[in-house]
Amino acid sequence: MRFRSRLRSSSALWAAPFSLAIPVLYYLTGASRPAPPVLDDAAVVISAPLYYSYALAYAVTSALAAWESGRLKEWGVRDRAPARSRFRVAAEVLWPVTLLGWLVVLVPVVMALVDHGVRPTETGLRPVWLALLLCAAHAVIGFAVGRLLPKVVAAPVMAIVVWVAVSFPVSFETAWPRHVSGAFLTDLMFGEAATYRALLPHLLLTGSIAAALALCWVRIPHAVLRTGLVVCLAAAGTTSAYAMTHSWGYDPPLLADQAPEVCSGSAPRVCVPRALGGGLRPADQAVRRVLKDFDEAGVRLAPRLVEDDVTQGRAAGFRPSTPDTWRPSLTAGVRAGQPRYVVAMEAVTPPCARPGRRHLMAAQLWAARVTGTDRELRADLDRRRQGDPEEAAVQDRAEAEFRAARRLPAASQPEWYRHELRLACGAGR
Amino acid sequence: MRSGTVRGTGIIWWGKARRLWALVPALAAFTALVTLSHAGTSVPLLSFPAAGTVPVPLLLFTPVPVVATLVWCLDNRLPEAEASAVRSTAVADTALAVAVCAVASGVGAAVALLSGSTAAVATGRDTAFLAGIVLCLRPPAGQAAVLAAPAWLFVVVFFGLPSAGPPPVWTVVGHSAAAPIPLTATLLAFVAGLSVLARSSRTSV
Repeated sequence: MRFRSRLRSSSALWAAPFSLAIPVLYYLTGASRPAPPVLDDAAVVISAPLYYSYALAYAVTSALAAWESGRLKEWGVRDRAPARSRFRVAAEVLWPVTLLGWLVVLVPVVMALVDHGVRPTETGLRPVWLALLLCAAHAVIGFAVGRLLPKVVAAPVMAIVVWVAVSFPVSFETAWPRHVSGAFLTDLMFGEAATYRALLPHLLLTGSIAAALALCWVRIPHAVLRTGLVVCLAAAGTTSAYAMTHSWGYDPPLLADQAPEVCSGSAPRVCVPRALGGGLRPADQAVRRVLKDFDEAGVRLAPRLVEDDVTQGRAAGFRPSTPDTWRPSLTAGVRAGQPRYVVAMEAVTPPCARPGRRHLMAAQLWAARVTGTDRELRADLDRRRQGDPEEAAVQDRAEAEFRAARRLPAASQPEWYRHELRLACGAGR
Repeated sequence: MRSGTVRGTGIIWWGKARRLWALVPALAAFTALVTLSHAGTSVPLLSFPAAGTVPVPLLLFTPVPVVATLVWCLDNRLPEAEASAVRSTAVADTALAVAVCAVASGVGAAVALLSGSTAAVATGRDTAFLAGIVLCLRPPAGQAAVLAAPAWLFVVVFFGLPSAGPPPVWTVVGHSAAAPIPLTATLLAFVAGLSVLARSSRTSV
C-alpha cells in the first residue's frame, strides 16, 4: 500500500492528537522542562522531558500495535495471502504505530533543545536511542499479544499493563528492576551522561522478548526447534539483563565531566564549565598564584590539569585530587570570592585515597599559611567543630602539630610537610 | 409452554452468540487484581498537577479488563439474524451490561468486607462509569470506543491527581465510594450508556 494510504488507514493517525497532546502540554506548562538553573548541558536538557515520555510512548505503541494486529487477524490477511512474508505484513502496519511512539519521544526533546538553544551531543542522545529502539520492541510485543487476544481486549489491556509495568520498578526496594524496565529514569546532574552499559540491560530485557516473539513467526519446520529457540532467546536476554544489574545500586554507571568546558594555559591546564562562564580568569590566576606560593615555601607542585569538580555530578568527592589532577570547586570558589583557598586545599594531595584526618589537617593548616588563606580555613574549621566534640579534638591535635612545625627552621618545613602527608597515609593515622 | 421453551433457547443462543464465557476469565482476573491491590498497592506515575510522580493505586486500573471484555461480548453478533429477528436483543444486552457491573461491584464489596478496607468498594463504581462512557461512544467510534477507558485513566492520572489529597471531582474514578458527586456522575453516565446500547443494539458495529 502506498505511504499515505497506509498512514491514513492506521489507528496511529486518530490516536496521534491525544498521544502527542500529553507530552506537549507537559512541556508547555513546565512540568517536564529541565529544572533551572538550566546550563548548556545537552544530556541534562534532553533527559528532563524524556523522563516523562518513556511510559506513555511505550504504552501507546504497544496498545496500537495490538489493535493493528487484531485488524489484520479480523481481515484474515494471513490466510488470504499466505505467500507474503509475515514480517513484511507486520512491518507495514507497525511502522505508523512506531512512528507515533517516536514522535511522543522526540517532540518534547526537540522542544527542549530548541528552547534552551543547546546542540545535541552523542552522549546526551543515548537515552533517546534507547527510547526509540524500545518503542519498536514494544510494537512487536503488542503485535504478538494482538494475535492472541481479540483487539478490543488486547489494546486497552496492553495500554495499562505497559504503562504500569514500565513505571512500577522505580518504587521497588530492590534496585535491579529499575535498570531493566526500559525507562532510564535517572535524574542526570550537571556534567553527567548515560553510559551504554547502563542502557544495555533495558534493551536486553524488552528487546529479547520482542525478538523471541518475532521468531515465532519464522517458518521453522520443527515446532520443537522453534519453541526451543524462542525460549532460549528470551531466557538469554532476561538472565543477562539480570546478571548485569543485580549488583547495582539505585544509580546506574554514569559518565561524568560531559559538560562543555573552557580551558586556559598548559602545565597546569585550568578548566571550568563553559556554562558557568566568567570564572576562568580568576580561577587561572588563583591556580598560578597558589603554585608560586608553594614554590616559594620550598614545595614544588606540578599538576597537569586543574578541573572544576562541579561537572562530576554525584561522583563529586568520590574521586579525590591526585598530584597530577586537581579537582577544586573552582567556580563555586570564584563565586564565594575565595578561589585561592579552594585551590590551596586541593593542592594538599596525600598519596592515598583515605588519609588520616589529623595529619591531613596539620598539612592543610600549613598550606593555608603558605598561601595566605588562613582566614578562610579557620572559618571553615570553626564551622565544622560546632557541636562536634570529636572533630574539635582532632582539630586541636592538628593545631598542636602545626604550631610545633612552625617553630622549625624555614628550610626544614617543606620536609615536615611531605612527611606529614606520608604520615596521613601511614602508621600515624 | 411452547413460547417459554423458545424464550429459553433464545437466551441460550444469544449467550452463545455473545460468547459470554469470556466474561468468566475476565471477572476472575478482575477478582484476583482487586484482591491483590485492595491493600493500597500503588504505582508511581507521572502526574501533571504534582509536577512529578504520584502514587496511583493499582485499584484504579482493575475495571479495564472487565469493561473491555464486556464490549467484546456485545460486539459478538450475528448481524443478519439479529437485524431481521422478531424479538430484539436490546433487553438482554442491557441486562448483560447491568449484570457485569453488578458483579464487579459485588466483587469489590465482598473484598472490602472480607479485608476490612473500604477502598475496594469504589472499584464497582469505577467499572460502571468506564462502561458507561464506552457504551455512549460505541455508535460514533465503533470498536475503538473501548480505548476511551484507558484514555480516561491516562487523562485522570496525567491531569487529575494532585500530590496529596483527593482528586478533583471531574475525574469521577479514584474517589471514595461514598462521594456523592462522582456517584451521581457514574449513574448518569451508566444510564446514558445503557440507553445508547438499547437503541443501537439492533444495528451497531
